[in-house]
Amino acid sequence: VLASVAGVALLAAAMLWFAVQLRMLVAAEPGCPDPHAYVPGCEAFVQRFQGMSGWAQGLLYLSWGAPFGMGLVLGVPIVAREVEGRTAGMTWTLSRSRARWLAGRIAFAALVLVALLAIVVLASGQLAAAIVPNLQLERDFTWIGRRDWLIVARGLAALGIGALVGTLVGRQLPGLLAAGFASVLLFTGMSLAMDRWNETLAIITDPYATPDGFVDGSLGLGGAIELPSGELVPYAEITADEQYQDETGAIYTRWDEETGQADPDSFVGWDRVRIIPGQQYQVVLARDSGVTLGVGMVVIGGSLVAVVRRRPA
Amino acid sequence: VRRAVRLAWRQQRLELLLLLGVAALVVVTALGIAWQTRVVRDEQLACYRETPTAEEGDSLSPCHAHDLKLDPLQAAAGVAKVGVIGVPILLAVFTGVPIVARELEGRTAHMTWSLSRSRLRWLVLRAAPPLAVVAVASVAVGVAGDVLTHAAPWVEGSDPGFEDWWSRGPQVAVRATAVFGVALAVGALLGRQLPAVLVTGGATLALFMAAFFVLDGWMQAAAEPVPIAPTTIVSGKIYGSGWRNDATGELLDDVEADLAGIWDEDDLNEEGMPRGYTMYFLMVPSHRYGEFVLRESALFASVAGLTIVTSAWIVGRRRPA
Repeated sequence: VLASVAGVALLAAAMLWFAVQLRMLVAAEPGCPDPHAYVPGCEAFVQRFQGMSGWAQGLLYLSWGAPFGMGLVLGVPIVAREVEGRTAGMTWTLSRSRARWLAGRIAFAALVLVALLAIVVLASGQLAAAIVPNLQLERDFTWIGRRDWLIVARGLAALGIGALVGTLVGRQLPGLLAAGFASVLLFTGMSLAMDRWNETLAIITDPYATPDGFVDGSLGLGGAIELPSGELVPYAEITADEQYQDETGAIYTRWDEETGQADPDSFVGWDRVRIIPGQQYQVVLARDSGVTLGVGMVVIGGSLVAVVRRRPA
Repeated sequence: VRRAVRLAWRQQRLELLLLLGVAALVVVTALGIAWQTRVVRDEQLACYRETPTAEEGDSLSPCHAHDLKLDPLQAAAGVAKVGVIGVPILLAVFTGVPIVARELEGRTAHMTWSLSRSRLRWLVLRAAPPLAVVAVASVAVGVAGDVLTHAAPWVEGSDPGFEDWWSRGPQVAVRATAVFGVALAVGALLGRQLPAVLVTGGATLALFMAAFFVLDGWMQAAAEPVPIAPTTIVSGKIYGSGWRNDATGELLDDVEADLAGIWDEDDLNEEGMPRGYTMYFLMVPSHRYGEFVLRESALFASVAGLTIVTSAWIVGRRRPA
């Protein structure tokens, strides 16, 4: 707990320091409204801002990893330490029930975890807003899971996984290791499943309709080819040999050496991208957080069952 | 010795099984990716040979289909390289920390140390088998990383120089040995496993950052100006570039060259390059790779030696609870 408190205090302090520095940089250059755009006369400011924001973005990676690390480190020893230290028999005997004992221990750990991760969420939110001051982050997928309440949900799920694996293994270090592997598998599976679910929110757009090929705040799901029939097919189905794309996004499969252009007879379809619009950010966040919390509750329930059934040594 | 090995296995069976399994997975994956990369690259080169007018990498090339196979292989190689860096460190931390810390935490140190001829002998017998496992497994992982780097499409049997510095070669094992030493010392000092794992993680991060900066300093100090002609192929770690005055041998960096007016239109040759000047890279040529591997290995070996001696000192002096 002390290590987690110290880690979060350091992380939050560093994030807030960077956020203040970045805001001060922007405030000092009122003539340069966008720190990410190379406007004549703003080059030095943009270079300074991006140099500092590069370091600041590294901190957002830490806020992504924090819930997994803290959840496991707090969750694994709850039962494993008692079993390993051979004090489980006595502790459980002195409690009204094992499940009640574990529920109390998990509740305390969850409380600490939620409080600490809430600080991470608030600090990383401030930092993200300072790095990209011109984005409306409440409807933007930039750094999803590194600056929002999904961090807390992931922490609680990791705590549950840690508690369950620690209960099953009954030793701290192997438990931590096994819980780490289990988390990788579970969260990867969950992420893949959520991607499929969230794809139901996707829309198809023409990347050539915007100057840079992107729609602000959206989450890109990859490209596809729209056939003249209106059907969408993956690129892999068309690009068995080669493909050529003109400046309007029309795709061809043959090159005419004589004209120096794509052969019009080989026209296949148009380049399209699948995106989830930024307006759906809160919906996706609520779905992800809800499912993650649900999984967390299930594994915590599993650890309650496991602690009732296992031998104390 | 056999008894010590058996005891070490019994005490750390689960950690070893898990981590050696992952290490084996990394080795097999890295070798598999290297093999497949070579197969696809050979096919692509054969394709280029059969169509001599095509330019390599050109999206209009008839051999472009091979790029579609190489790209995911290279992405997978990136993941495997993370494994080459991470798995030896995990192995070292999770086998090094509990050797002393578990005995102290479980309050069995007093009995264990009393039953041994000396605490030092106990420590040597307990630490040697896992250290050997860490070293051997890390060498295997490092060699697989080396094979992976040499299989990259752009290497083609040439010298990869300083590429993939952290994820290839037997030096991966030297680094893992140093981390093992740190883990052993921290475990002996703190006497509790989980806090020791966390502290060792932080110490390892600090150690690697320090090694990075020290090594970078050495390389910068050793960087030498290498003249470059338009057809020269150079390999090595490049720290800067500039222009050499061919008449005087004076070296100018890019800014100084600009200020000296070497780009004045009247002074450019027919190729548009400054007349009387030759471009140079300030770099460490790749043939000095081995020298820097030795230097870095000496650094990590010193850390390993120092931390293992410190662990012995702590075990000899500390209270068993």
